[in-house]
Amino acid sequence: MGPQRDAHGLGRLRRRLAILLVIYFFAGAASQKLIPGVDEIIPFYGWSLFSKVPNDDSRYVLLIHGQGRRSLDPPVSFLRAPATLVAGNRYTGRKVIQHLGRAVERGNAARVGTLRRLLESNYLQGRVRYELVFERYDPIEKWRSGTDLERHSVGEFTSGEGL
Amino acid sequence: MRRGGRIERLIAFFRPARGGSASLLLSPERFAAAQSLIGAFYAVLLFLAAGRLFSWPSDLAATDLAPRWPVAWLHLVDTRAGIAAILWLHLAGGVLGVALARYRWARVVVFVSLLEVLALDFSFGAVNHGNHLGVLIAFVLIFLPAGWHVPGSADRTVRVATLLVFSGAQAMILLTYSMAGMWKAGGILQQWLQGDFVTYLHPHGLAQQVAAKMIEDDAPSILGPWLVAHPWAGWLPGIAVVYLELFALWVVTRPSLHRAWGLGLALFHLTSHLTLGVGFPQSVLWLVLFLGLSPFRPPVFEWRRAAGELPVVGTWLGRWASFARAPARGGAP
Repeated sequence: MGPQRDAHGLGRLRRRLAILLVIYFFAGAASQKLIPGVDEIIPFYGWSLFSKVPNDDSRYVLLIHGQGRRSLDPPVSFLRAPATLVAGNRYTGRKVIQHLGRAVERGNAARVGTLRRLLESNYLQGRVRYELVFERYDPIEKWRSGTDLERHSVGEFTSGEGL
Repeated sequence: MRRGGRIERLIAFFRPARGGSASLLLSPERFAAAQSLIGAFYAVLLFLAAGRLFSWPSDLAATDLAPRWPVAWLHLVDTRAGIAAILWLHLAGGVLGVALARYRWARVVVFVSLLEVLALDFSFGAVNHGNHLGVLIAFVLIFLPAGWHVPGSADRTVRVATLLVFSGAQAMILLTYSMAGMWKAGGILQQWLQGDFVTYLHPHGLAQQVAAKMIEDDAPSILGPWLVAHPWAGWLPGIAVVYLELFALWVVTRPSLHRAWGLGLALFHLTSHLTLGVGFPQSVLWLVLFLGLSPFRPPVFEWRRAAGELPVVGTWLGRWASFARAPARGGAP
């Protein structure tokens, strides 16, 4: 009986591992692709990373116009701003900016409020005046010449105001 | 006899598609190698938890969070105290993994500690994916059998179960890459249907992706500007990446390809860091530990066999390799 039970146990272990992989595959894909507004349900993820080559691409840029009473001319971008203006992980902060830009353009006030609080309390230093700008471009052309296909301001904000 | 039959069927499932040893799961040497690699996994987790101490002050200074579900309980407690609890759990999990990984409950605590700290990291408005694999591997290793840690264990069932779980961890790693490859292959089809001219199959595909990322980051990567200036250089490497990722899971049951795929995917991460500016250093480590140093890999790399087991082109390459060897045999005195 002992050896047979062992063999049954191994078969069960193999089945469990296989089921785990199948669950991860479907739950991962579903969490990223099928639930609107959800990036992923940690630790499930669809692993869709750089899946398409952008023939034309777009982004939201955060330009800082000033801090407190001090004005910045020309304005400085979030990713290039000195540590006196921007704190924390800029890679993560840049993603928050993209979410915020989309929320502003969709007019989703609740989400804008949440994202502004996250951005202003974790990434911007002090009372910062900033502008969100939308850009659409051909990537290689923009890298070579800096030209955009489309560019417009999405909105201007000041840390802590209007929240 | 019946036990022998079941174990043989189990081994047959794992056996390489073309030839290979039927005794991979029974080998004491491979069992010992798997034990060492699992021990190394937990040692690295402690190293990472210790390194995390440097960022405790900034972690504890956080005030505004958008907690992910594993740390949703932070809403119910003082934020600073809750974050402190997660950080202490992470450190304790690192120590437990090294000291008590023989016990399943300790491996569960390690998994939970990693999940909590990962969720904390992603509660600041955005997610990245460089540290997911460690959590997934820690979950699979919960299934290790009692006695997996005993050096030179004479228990055949423990050896088979340990190596099965190790191959499950390999499969989990490779599955994530196959999923990434699946979306890229699907993306190519979707872009064709949409009428997009540039895809990963286009000579400028990878260069265009790199240019887009550098603009997004507002900074040049190390090799990115050169690649954008010489876009054709990225053509075949871009296609090779889609191939490596898409067929990653295929490799699980083909040990002769473990090392090549592990190192190939690690190389992919290094080059994507140099060109796209996207680093997955922790994934590089897991790829090298679990696949580059796979306990199932042949002692000596046999390129003919490996070529014959490659997905899609393997049959053709296998015939060619046999053909290439035949004249040498015929010509021998």
